[in-house]
Amino acid sequence: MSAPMGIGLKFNKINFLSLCIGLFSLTIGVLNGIEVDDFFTSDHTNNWAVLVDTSRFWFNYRHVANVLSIYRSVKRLGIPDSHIILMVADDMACNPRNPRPATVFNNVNEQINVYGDDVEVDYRGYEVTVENFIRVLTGRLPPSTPRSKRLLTDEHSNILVYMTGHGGDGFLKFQDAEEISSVELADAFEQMWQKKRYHEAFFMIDTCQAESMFLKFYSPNILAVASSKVGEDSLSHHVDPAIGVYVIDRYTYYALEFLENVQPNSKKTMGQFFRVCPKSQCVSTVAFRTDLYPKDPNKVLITDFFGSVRNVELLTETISFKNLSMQDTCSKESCVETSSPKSSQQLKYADQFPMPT
Amino acid sequence: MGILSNPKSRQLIVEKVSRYNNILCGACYVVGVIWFMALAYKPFNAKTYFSENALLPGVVESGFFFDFDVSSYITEVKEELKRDKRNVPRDWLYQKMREAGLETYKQNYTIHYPLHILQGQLVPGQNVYGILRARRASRVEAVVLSVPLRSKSSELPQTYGGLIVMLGLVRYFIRQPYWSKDIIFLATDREELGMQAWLDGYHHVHSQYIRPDELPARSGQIQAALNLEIPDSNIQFMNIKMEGLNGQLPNLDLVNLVVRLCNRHGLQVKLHNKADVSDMEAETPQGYLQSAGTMVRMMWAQASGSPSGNHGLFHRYHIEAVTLEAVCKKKTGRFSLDTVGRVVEGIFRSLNNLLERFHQSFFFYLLPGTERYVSIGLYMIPFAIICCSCLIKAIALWVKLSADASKPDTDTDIAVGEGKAGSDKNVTETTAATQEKTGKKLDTKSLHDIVEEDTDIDDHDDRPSGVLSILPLVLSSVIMSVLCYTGPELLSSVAVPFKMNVEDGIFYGFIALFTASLMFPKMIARRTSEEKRLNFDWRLLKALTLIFQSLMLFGLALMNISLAYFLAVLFVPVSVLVHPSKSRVSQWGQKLLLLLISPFSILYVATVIRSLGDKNEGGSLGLLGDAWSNLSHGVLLTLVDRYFFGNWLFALFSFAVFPNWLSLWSISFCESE
Repeated sequence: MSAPMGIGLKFNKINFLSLCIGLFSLTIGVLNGIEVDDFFTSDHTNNWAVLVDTSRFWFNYRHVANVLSIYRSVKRLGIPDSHIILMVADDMACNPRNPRPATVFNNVNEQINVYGDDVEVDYRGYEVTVENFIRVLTGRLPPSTPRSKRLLTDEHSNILVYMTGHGGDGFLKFQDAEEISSVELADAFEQMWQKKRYHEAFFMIDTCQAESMFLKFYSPNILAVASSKVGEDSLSHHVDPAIGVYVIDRYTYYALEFLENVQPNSKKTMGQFFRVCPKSQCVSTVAFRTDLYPKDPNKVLITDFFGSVRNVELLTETISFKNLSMQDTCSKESCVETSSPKSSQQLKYADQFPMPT
Repeated sequence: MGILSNPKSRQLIVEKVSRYNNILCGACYVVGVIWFMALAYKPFNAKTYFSENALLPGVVESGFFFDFDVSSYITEVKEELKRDKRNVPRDWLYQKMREAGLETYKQNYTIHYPLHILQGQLVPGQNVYGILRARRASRVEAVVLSVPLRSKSSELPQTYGGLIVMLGLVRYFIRQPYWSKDIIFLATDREELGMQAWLDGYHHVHSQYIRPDELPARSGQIQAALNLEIPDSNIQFMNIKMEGLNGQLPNLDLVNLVVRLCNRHGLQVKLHNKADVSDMEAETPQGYLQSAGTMVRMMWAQASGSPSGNHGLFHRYHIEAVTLEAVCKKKTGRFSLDTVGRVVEGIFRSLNNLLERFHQSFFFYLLPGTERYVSIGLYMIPFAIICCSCLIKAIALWVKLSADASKPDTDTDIAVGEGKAGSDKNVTETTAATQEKTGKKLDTKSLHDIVEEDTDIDDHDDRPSGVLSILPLVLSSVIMSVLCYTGPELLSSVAVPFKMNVEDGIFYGFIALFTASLMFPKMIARRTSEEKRLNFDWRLLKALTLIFQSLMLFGLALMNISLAYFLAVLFVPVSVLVHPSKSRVSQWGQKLLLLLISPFSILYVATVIRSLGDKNEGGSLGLLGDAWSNLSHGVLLTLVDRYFFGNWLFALFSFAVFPNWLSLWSISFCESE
């Protein structure tokens, strides 16, 4: 899919934007001493993110803060709201117990309100169910579902799936009522693969015994990382005594610390991301799985999943587009002629309760 | 095959039990009592922990401060109290709560004393309460902060410190945006009566004796309550009181929460004025004695069945509640009311986080320290072992009865030929006789067993047997129970026309009833036998009594383990030992023991112990005298508690303990054959 960017480029046939990006990348590539070939090996065309917080109740404030922080990071790195499915199981910002109404903070310093002005929550409250989650992943949603609530991916999409909540060995609790098992999740990914709904997937989970959630995966091209091994608890990072709750989990905290230094043009790799939060910081052991993933994570850019950095495809021939915008438009007068004749039948409201006469 | 469903092995067990029953009973009792008390030893109990995640205890920083001059408020309250000996600072509080912007109300109620106390006059009372509505929540849940109002004439310590803290909290809480539950600030009059009136009014409960007016305003379902008894500033330490009506306890999570918050603010918290044992000393003998002492004090308070504070009445409505009592010392008390305010703030912020009622942690527990607990799973085993000795004895007697019944009519032969039995009798006789023979070998080991064996040998055929022989006894003890239960009302209605003090009337009535019950075996004897001898099937009666007693103790243990344990410790050995005897020493010994555990003596000893706790002046004789005068008052209070609050203690004593004791008493009078 990708066009290698060689020496013999024909500058006269590419557009200005491509030129700029090309030159820029070339410069960076040369500066960092990385082969230009490596830089354009990723072959996806679009990025999606499914960010899920599965737990409700005030004392699980930190899970909402986790997911909103990741949301903020991926948005900053370029994934638009239309490509993010955000599921938040409870409304912490408007919880009466929140001493800072309409805000969610992920740090004791309370500098960043992660529940800012432009958070678009797609599934909230009791809509966050196992069923909805699997339907979103597999695309089996009712026809009436708006596009903003759909995961409209294709075989060129890279997906980031981030989950946080309370889990156990082989399951993750949703709300206070149900749970998704690792087998169900693995089957959902397989279904996605068979339906060509992803190109590569990155699964990230911050919960107790998180590793158990990806051990059952069997579909190709999945990279997975978890905050803890089976048998370990994932711990929270710190308390905000003013709010009176734990505000963020350890793994997410250090992952965010890493992501904060990532820019859209950054050269950081997934391999580096896997080394985030060693045991001395996390207390739990960060587990990852690379055997389903054909590439070397050390050569995969982190922006392949967390950002939306597009590849530039260079064509050697000119394509001429028809100017669609100037044709087929009509003014008030010209349009009236073509409009359908007025129906003589008078419109009326249908009976709401049709009664037999 | 199960051991019990296999007839052969069952036979074996039954044989073993009936043969070794005396040793088994003794062993069970000793093991049970020692094991139970050993639970106070640190390695045998567990450290308390929070089961409820939602509480998040002590996570939040405290921001409480008094925004008024505390000392001037204290002066105002004191002046208010000085105005009249019986005046409580009710109106002052009402005014201050209004000024703070709280919606405040008064609730009127009238008390109609039972048993013709005060000649049926109605006593009015008034509670003050304010509701802080949760601004951002649905206002369907509430928590209560209560303080009892006490006048200067009250015998109990003052509580105006608590009123000041409450006012400070009203003014602070009302400015906070984070409440998810309504907070009810309540000041009640007349101790438990006022509290009961308010709770009844709140829950639309109507009682004959406490008649609350309709509350002018209500809030949602109450989830928890904290009662403050704080005399003044200069607090030395806090006491946490949790024992409620009929021995009900609040959820352990609430107790843990209060303890955790107190410790967090450096405020020492104790149980019944007893500090926790330090970790270093916990496993030494001194440490054990200290924690055992604390546990016994807690059990003592629970066993009484009367609430140790106003919190105790909430439990009936399934509202978890505790009392925080401050002990003040003018010079050494180094904690001010601010600290208490911050503790209460922390407790309420945690309660505010609750999503459901308290339900995660234990409702049945004993505390050998504020941070150690003995759960129901631990204490039920030794308690069951104690009760087991009753059941073993009952089974042994039952086996003996059925063996006797299966004997042919030539049982005199068996009795005579005890030693050489088993040669030419039929099969059933042989088994019965060998049982007795082997029983004899064993029985020679102890004195009591010899006595019992003697009675076996002297088994005459003229001994009445069967249910009919014990029916008169059972019936008359039931009649005595009913008399005991209904007596107070009768006596009090009689006492008034005679211009007698109701308290004295009832007390002397009880003494008369008790004396009558002492003579009870003699009275029955006249009716049942021509020779004025009391003769009946004592084994059957004893077996039934033991089964009834175990049933009663087990049932009680599920509601009030402390009372059940104390009763078991007293009743089990005596009830197992008691039997008709020829030996004078044994007879009088038994009667003495039975007198010691008679309901009357139990009450008296309990009063002595209670007076012991109050003060230690006037020497031991003075103490006994004090206890005697307190006894009549205590009896009356227990009776009144029954009418006002539904205390079971009196019903338990009249319908379970008393008839049980009567049966045992009459067994000791039974003619030994």
